[in-house]
Amino acid sequence: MSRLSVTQLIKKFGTRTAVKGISFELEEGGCTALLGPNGAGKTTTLRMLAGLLSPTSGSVAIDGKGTSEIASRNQIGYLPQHPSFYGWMTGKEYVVYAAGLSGMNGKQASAEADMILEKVGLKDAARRRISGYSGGMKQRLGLAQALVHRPRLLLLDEPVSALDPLGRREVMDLLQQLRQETTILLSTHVLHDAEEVCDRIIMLRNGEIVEQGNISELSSKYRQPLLTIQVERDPEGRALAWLQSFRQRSFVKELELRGDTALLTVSDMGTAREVILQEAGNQVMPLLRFEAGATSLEEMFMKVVSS
Amino acid sequence: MKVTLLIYRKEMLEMLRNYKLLWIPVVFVLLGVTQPLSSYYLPELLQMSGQIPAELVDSFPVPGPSEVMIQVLSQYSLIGLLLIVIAGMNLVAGELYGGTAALVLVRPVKSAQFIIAKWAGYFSLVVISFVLSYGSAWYYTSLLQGTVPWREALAAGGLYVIWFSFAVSLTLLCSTLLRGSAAAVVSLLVIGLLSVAHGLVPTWLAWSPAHLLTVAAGHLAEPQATENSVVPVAVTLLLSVLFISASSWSLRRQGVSD
Ligand SMILES: Nc1ncnc2c1ncn2[C@@H]1O[C@H](COP(=O)(O)OP(=O)(O)OP(=O)(O)O)[C@@H](O)[C@H]1O
Ligand SMILES: [Mg+2]
Repeated sequence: MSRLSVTQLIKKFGTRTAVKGISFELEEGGCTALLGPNGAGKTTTLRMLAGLLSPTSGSVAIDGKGTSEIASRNQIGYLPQHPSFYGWMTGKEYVVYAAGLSGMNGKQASAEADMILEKVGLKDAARRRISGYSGGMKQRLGLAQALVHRPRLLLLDEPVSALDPLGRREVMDLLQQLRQETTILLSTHVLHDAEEVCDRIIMLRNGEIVEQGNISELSSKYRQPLLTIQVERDPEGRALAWLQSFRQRSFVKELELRGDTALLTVSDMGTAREVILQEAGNQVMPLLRFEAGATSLEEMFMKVVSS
Repeated sequence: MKVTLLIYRKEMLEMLRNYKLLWIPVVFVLLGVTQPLSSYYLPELLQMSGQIPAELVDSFPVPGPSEVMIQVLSQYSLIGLLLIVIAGMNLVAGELYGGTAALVLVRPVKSAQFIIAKWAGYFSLVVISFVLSYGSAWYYTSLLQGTVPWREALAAGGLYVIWFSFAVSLTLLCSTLLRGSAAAVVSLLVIGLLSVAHGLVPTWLAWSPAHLLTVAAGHLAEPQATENSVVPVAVTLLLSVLFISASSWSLRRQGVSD
């Protein structure tokens, strides 16, 4: 039985369709990243999963039950992109309140709150009013309230984008621990973050899933030989013209010029290397750099995002 | 039940920390004691100003205790109401659009629990303010104007509490459906239109919440000939329940922003 199944989810805001019929399933355990550029529909999707926004059509089920049911709601921990709290409460009071709403009794709620506040690094600020918290502290508090009742499914909307490098590191480590016992779905627009803690990604663009799967499988799928050639600029522009000319070669699938550097996606690394190096030698090209490597998921993601 | 109580406690704590639990009762008490004090001291004040001849001042009718209490009540139906609606317009809207409701409603909290706790918290504030205020008005009136018939005053106060529950429920509903100030405007408009219509054709609207105010004044004006108020009381309570239900029904409809 899969923990979370999403079927043909559609959300329209007036005439705009923010989410265009997405379907996916999450198995118990592990971490999945919802990856997409601004406006892709990540927040909208997560809000529908959390039961805060009703879908125009389609369904969301946890262990076969709808998320509007009370029983399944207790299994969700949700961190909004910009969480807002009662500023007049202290951090500790808020987390205790949240735990109480999820059915914990006073003593247990207080103990759990202390523990989780320490975990997210808010121990010293726990007795201060939330109105005096910084943005990053609020993000940590948001994480604390999402975790305090030990949910089985965590929905995190950009959990690290408001944090400083140190905070980011801490939260990433925390997520690493949590993924042993919890199913995590987090949204991000940074592939690097996804690669760090998640084992699966779902790539969204304009409300549609453009690619999904295991990160390792995807990166081997999109792995292609890549040549990076940098030349010195000469007054006649001979070297640049030479780089341009690669566009017509049979072994070049794609050419991207960035100033004096050409990125060549090639079909056959052996031939490409041989031909290009020979030409460079024969025509005395002012080569600065010649590097053979492979495209990464990042390039694929950038392509998806920009097209 | 436990969750409702928890949210209710949070509501009360919030009103304590943002001083609503202080300033609204204070304003209400001021509102209540102004009538007995001013009608007692008015002749003296006029005399001191020296503009008006003493004979004229003496000829002013001195209001009796019942009249003063009726005036006190009419203050609540105007300024008191305005205060309640304006201080309550963000009751739900504030949380719904401010994003704090989202983190409550993703938890196993039913819409009805959230709404009922909100209603109960705010109604408590209104009742506390009203009881303090009405009590002080009563005290000063007995002191300055004469004995107030306690049975009638209590009955009139009770009818006002019921009418306040109607006003609070309506404000709550508007605050769920609309954003802050629009909620206040609509609530005031509905209650205003109702009382204007009731003023024009009282017999047609004898069942309406607005009629409670007339009955309450009648208790004090003519204690012998009090009107039976079962129908307007029942209608008012029913409407309150209806507003609360509609409010909890629509809470999640438009989507909870975060
Ligand atoms: N309440 C709303 N009313 C109208 N349109 C909306 C609403 N919420 C979102 N949208 C639209 O839906 C689309 C997706 O928005 P969403 O917030 O889900 O994007 P996102 O992937 O979370 O982006 P970001 O990375 O910027 O957070 C956007 O085009 C946005 O304009
Ligand atoms: Mg977003």
